[in-house]
Amino acid sequence: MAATPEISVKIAADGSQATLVAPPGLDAALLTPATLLFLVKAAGVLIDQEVERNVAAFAAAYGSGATDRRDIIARSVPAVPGEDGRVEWHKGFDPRPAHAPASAERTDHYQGQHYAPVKTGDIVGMAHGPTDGTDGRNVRGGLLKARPGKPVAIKFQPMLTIDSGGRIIAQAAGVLMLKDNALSVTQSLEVPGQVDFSTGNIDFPGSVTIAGGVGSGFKVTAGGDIHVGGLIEVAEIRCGGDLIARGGMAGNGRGTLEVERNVQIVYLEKVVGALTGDLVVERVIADCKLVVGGDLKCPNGNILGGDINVTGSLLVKAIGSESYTPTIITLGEVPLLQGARVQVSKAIEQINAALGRLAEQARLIKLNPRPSPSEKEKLTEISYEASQQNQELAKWATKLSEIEAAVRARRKLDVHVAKVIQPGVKFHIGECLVVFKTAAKGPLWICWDEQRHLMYKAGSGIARPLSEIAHVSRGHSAPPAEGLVPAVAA
Amino acid sequence: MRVLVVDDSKTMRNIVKGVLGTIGATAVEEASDGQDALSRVDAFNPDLILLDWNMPVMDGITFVKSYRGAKKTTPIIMVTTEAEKTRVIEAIQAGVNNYAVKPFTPESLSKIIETTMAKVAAKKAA
Repeated sequence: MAATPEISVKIAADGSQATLVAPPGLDAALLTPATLLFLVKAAGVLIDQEVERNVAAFAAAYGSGATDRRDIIARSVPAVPGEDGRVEWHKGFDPRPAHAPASAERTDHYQGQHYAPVKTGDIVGMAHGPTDGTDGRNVRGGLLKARPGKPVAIKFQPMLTIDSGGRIIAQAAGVLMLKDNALSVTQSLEVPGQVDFSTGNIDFPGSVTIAGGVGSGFKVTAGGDIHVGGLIEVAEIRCGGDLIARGGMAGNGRGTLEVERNVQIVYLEKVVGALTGDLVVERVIADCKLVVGGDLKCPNGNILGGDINVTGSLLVKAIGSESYTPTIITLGEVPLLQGARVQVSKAIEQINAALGRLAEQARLIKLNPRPSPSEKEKLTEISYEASQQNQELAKWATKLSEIEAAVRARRKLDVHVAKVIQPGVKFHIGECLVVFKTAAKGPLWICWDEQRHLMYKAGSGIARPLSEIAHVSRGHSAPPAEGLVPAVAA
Repeated sequence: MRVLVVDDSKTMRNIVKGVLGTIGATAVEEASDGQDALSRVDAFNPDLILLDWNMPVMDGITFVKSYRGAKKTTPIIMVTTEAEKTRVIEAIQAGVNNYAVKPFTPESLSKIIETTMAKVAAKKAA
């Protein structure tokens, strides 16, 4: 068959399409699909079913040849790029920062990031690898290579492994942290600046180090230690370990501290708090309401105003002020056990009341010399109930004994004042109220003698009755301390 | 020790179960009358039966007679308000091993159970 030179096949430079062109006036009998396919194939176009259909349609459409015809008869199949690798986080383990609004109506600007705690062996997510993509082809059948997906952007630190199934497994306990695209398990959180609206509240199961301070209205809660570089304002600080602050805390009467171990700080002003361990203050404790479970040491500073309850020793330079600032110090008790003692005593009281009611019920039934079968059954129930209550009572009584033994072991009176105790200072020591009406110059040491009389020593002198330098009266128990009250279970 | 507790009062069954818990019973089954007890006893195969006397459908003494009539030797303790001598004799003759009179204390019931089981064990050994 002779070629028809006026029919042409134009292929795009990038091979993306092939166009069949036929001018008018050609012999339609010669423009068969077979002829056209021959020409298309000769031009280098890969013939597939779609090309065959398009060529057949071209031939049919050309008809009598009244007009020219130009149709695209072949298109390339584009390459499909691969999917990038990704991590699918399991519920509760997403480490990405999120300041989710508390509700649809209000946004809590104080709300901070949630940190996901992990244990060794926890599966925190699935790593899905990249896919290769699907290659395409141009109209000549040439390969259009697909771009493969990129690997997961996250770098997994050694304490996280990925198994053959793609599971991401924690190899250490701590908190999941994603920082600069590196995923790790950490036991500590670092806040490079202040705790403020940029960070939100901090609630972290491990230790927290804050380079700056803590702004007013914010809460910092840590399961471990808290280190603070700057000023702590009217904030709530709760920590399961030590609080170590290179600045002070100005609580304005609303700032609070709850510390399970020790506190070391430059100053405390108008702070309410309780700590189980020792309190070490560099400069001053002013107008604070504090319960200290251990020793209070302020050897170069003053206690000025406020209400301080100290279980252990007190070491301070001066207490009170020349302007008679009311300052109350409670000593010789174990305030953190007081609450527990009250709870246990209440429980014992309630059980005794219940036993009393049961005894009364039994007594009333026994007034009848011939109790009915149902009354006899009732007596059995009462007897059983009383037995249960007595077992409970025994447990609580043991608990109370343990608490009282702990109180006896821990309570002490050991007060060292280097410079002066000013007038207006009151000490609650057990049942005694000690009021300083004039200044008592230091160095002073206040303690009990063997008969638990209140004594003092000035300098290296002998011990003398405290009543010589202060007014001492009996029968004034200090009000129960508020603060940390450990949960008590029988 | 596997124990079948038979009493129409759920409260009493709970009290007895509580006592059994303190003396190391490993499994406790409950029945609300003699008929119910008969339907459960073979499948449960208890080591001890604690049985009330006055129950609807089938009372305790009828259960004992029926159970012993089938040649079953599991120890039975009657736990009941019936304290008259004739009643006690009737129960012993029917085949109960021991008798606990309500009201009882948890301690007294424990003691009766332990004494009964010790006697049964001694008899088996002999």
